[in-house]
Amino acid sequence: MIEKALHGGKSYWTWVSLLATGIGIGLLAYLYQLQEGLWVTGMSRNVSWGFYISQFTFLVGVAASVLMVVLPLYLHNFRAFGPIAVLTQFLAVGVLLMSLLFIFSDVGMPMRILNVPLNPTPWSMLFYDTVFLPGFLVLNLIIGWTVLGAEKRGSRLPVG
Amino acid sequence: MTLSRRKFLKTTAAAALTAMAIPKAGQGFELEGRMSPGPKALKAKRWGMVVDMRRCKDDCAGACIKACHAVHNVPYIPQAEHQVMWLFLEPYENAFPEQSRGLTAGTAIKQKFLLMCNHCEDPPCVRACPTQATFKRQDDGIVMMDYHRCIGCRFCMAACPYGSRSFNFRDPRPFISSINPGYPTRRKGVVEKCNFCQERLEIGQMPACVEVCKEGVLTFRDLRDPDSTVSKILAKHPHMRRKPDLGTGPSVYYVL
Repeated sequence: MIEKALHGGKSYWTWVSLLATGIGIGLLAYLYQLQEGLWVTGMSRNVSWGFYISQFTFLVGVAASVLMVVLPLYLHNFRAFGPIAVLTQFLAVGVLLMSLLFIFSDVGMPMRILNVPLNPTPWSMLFYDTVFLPGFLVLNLIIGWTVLGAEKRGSRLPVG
Repeated sequence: MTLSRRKFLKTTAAAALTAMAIPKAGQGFELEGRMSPGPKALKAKRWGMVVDMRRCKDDCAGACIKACHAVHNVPYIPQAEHQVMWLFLEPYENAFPEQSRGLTAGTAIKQKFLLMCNHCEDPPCVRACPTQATFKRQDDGIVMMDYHRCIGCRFCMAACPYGSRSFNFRDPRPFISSINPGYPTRRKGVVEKCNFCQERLEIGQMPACVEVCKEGVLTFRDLRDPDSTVSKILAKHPHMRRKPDLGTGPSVYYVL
């Protein structure tokens, strides 16, 4: 289904390269932070959390709002939400990827991030963020992809 | 496909319950050799510190702080906003903010207070930590840090109401004047704090700050033992703890 994204006019590719430049700058900035330490972000003893965490919480809120569309459709069979469900699920994929990346770029030792699922700590809030958000991401990706595929085939069934 | 909505929901719920019943991951990683304290180790049911501020004078130029930071390889970082502090001095208003309103010029306390990790009875940092890198030892109440497990999320710093925790915003090693090989240095990206000199207690030594203070400001003994020095001082003199209304139960007491 990705093939549509690989065809486009000049203005499309200008837009894509603009976005890719933004991603590249971000990646270089992250590598700089990884080498120098988190002081380059301007965070300090008194401001121990900054824009990373505030972006994360905002984007998680956006991801949670997807449930408001998806739950009536899938659990209560409220068909009117059918056409927009796919859109909201891919929105969730985007914002969840971003929010997880914001957590990842906020921690001081990103290579140890697997310590969170390896040492399950149900009384810590961050444990839920790092375990349930990837799960929600995978769910949205699978369901969104399946529903979109069915729609492309003009079918209401996920397979065949 | 004859999967009804009802059956699908039932199966999903059953699968979720099964997944929850699977025993905790990572149990097979139990290490064989365990560290155990030596024969000379000092033991207590709950270690506690009494800071007698009546005896604390400025003329020693913070000898206890210097000793603590030298023993634990705490870096001296020139930028105040990125400093790492295990033991530090703060004005009375910062140490006891809720008990400083209404003080007039005549009654204000000008002395600076010696602050450290309070090794709380119910430590909020331990509740916040997502990896259990910070934990409370059940046998003596010391709140400790595992520098090798910490992911540097700084949740504990947000949770600690006393500002006792420091994050290594930059590589600390270039800022250590002389490295003590008896204690590990840290790397950038992890949190650290006072550990009540747990590594010294295990070889029968008192905490570095207690040992170096000549004025007798610091007393470090078992809070649960009614005959210990700290219990006797606390029975005799009026004292206070920082932010007691939060219910954290600090182990550090101040005698004014």
